[in-house]
Amino acid sequence: MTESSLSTIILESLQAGWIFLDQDLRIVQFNSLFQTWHPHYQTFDKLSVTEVLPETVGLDLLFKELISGKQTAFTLSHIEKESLKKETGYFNLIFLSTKIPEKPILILLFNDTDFALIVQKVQQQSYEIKLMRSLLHTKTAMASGLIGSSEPINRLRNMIEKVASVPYSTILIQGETGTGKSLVAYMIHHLTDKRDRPFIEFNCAAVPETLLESELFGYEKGAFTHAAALKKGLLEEANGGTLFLDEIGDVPINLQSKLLTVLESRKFRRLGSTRETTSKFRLIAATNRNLKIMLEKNKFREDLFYRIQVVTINCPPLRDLGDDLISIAQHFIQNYNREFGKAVKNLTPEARHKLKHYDWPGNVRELRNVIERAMIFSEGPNLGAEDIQLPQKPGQEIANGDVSLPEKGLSFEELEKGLLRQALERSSGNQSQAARLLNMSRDTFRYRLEKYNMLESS
Amino acid sequence: MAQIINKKICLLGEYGAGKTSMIRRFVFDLFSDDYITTIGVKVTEKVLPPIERENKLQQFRFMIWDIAGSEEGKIKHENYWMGASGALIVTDLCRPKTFSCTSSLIEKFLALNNNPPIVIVGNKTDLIPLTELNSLETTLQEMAHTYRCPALLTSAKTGQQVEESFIRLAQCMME
Repeated sequence: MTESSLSTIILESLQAGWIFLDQDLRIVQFNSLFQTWHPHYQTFDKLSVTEVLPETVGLDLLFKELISGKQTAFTLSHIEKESLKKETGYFNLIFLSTKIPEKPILILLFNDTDFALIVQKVQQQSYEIKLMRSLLHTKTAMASGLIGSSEPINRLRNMIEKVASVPYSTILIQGETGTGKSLVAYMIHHLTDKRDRPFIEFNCAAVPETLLESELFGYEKGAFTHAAALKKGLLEEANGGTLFLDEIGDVPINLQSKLLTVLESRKFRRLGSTRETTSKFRLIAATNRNLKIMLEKNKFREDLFYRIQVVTINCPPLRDLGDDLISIAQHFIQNYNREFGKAVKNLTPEARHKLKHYDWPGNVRELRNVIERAMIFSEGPNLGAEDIQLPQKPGQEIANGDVSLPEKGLSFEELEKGLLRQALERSSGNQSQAARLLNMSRDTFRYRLEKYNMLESS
Repeated sequence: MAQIINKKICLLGEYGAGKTSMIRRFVFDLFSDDYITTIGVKVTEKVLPPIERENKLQQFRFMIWDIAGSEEGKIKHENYWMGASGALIVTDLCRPKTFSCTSSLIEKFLALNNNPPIVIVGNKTDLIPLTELNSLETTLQEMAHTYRCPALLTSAKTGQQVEESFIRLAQCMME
């Protein structure tokens, strides 16, 4: 056996495509596997290597070094190439100096697709997580946090950018439940140069009135029976940053005057303290109640109202967003794909139609829940109309007379109170509008509110 | 007719900056929001329109090397850079940290290839509020000033200044 045929046997056992190049970098020998991987060529004889392997363009210096023997080997790994079937394949290219004058360079081509795809998958997951994390922490992500390009969304986006540029001005965010008021507050905070300072979010309706004051102002050790240690209040914690008070309409009237004083002077005292503490923060307040009506009923202080509504931002309801509703739904599909490990691609036209023709009283929050439910049960590549489970509109039920009484019965009083509350919420506290929603006169509506002691809270 | 000259150019930058999207937009005029990590390298060809300089027409065929992104400045694939005639340095405007991470990358690339021309690109303008763009551009221009190269703001999504970036690099190669 000659040395040359022995080399060929060894080369063939490598499961690699290979070519030899002459001094002019033209192919002088190749094997069948190399030809299989480059089916567009009938032959490679005397073709320039750069023509067949564009990955070698620019490597003139390297080739010179391989020919002279100054360099013996060079590797390019994970080179992505498309196969005949248009599938992605990954190859490793190894350039070797042979020291044979008529064919001084050997290039080996190994198919490394299986391993490379595993590497790709691992890296994909790692980078996706890192990208998402970094996006969460950048102000620009906040700017893109609002999905859509409808007029109301663009107006909201503009408004957010404008108010963010004015330091410490107080902002009032209004909007129906589930319209993303806290997201807007968070975006404003992250668009300011105070983004690294605290963002304190607090729902005033979530704690009993008696605790609200100590939560906001903090207390000294021994200020009251259970005050075992000093506790800083939220006003103090927000120093230098943003305090977001959700449901500001639920702050009791006596506390409203204290809050106003803080906003005016930036000074306050912890409960049980004689010393004044200073805190400079931006207040963002939000409510889904109609503060003007609360003013009329002396449930909200006029001076505080005018102090917090220096700038008012209205979050549009989902039903006013047109095609953006679909973009938001698609965003949730992508999120739940990641969370549930699914691969749902899109919504069918029927599903889109169904989504667009529903009223969405719970707005984006309700849409998210509907998509989450659909994603849990869906099995196909797209979400269809049958996957989208929407509650029947109460109006429809009544109009069709097909309200079904649950087996265990129900409290008619609670049902009526619930409807009154929903109508008020939907009409942002406007009683005439709410009455129209329930197909009754304003007087009848008010009579029913009074009956259930709901007049004050409206 | 101008002679077509093959040139190897590299797209370098941090992972997720939009290098693959830039190439897809430039070569195929396509864009997808899906993020697919590049591992290794993919070479794509594109013949640029002829460029005139001092009454001479020149035309390039770019062999565009889409190279896997670095991670916080850590360079993994120097072998891919060998023999490059230029590079687009792609940064992510949404992650200003990617600006500083690319400095070491630029310096190594320039040293390895005998100072070829580079163009610095701030990608993803479509995600940046107008009020923010000015300050980001200033930072990018300061960086470009350090390396005496042009800087452009791009969006692979909208196509804004993508082609211009590649043409600018070709023009720099002719200087």
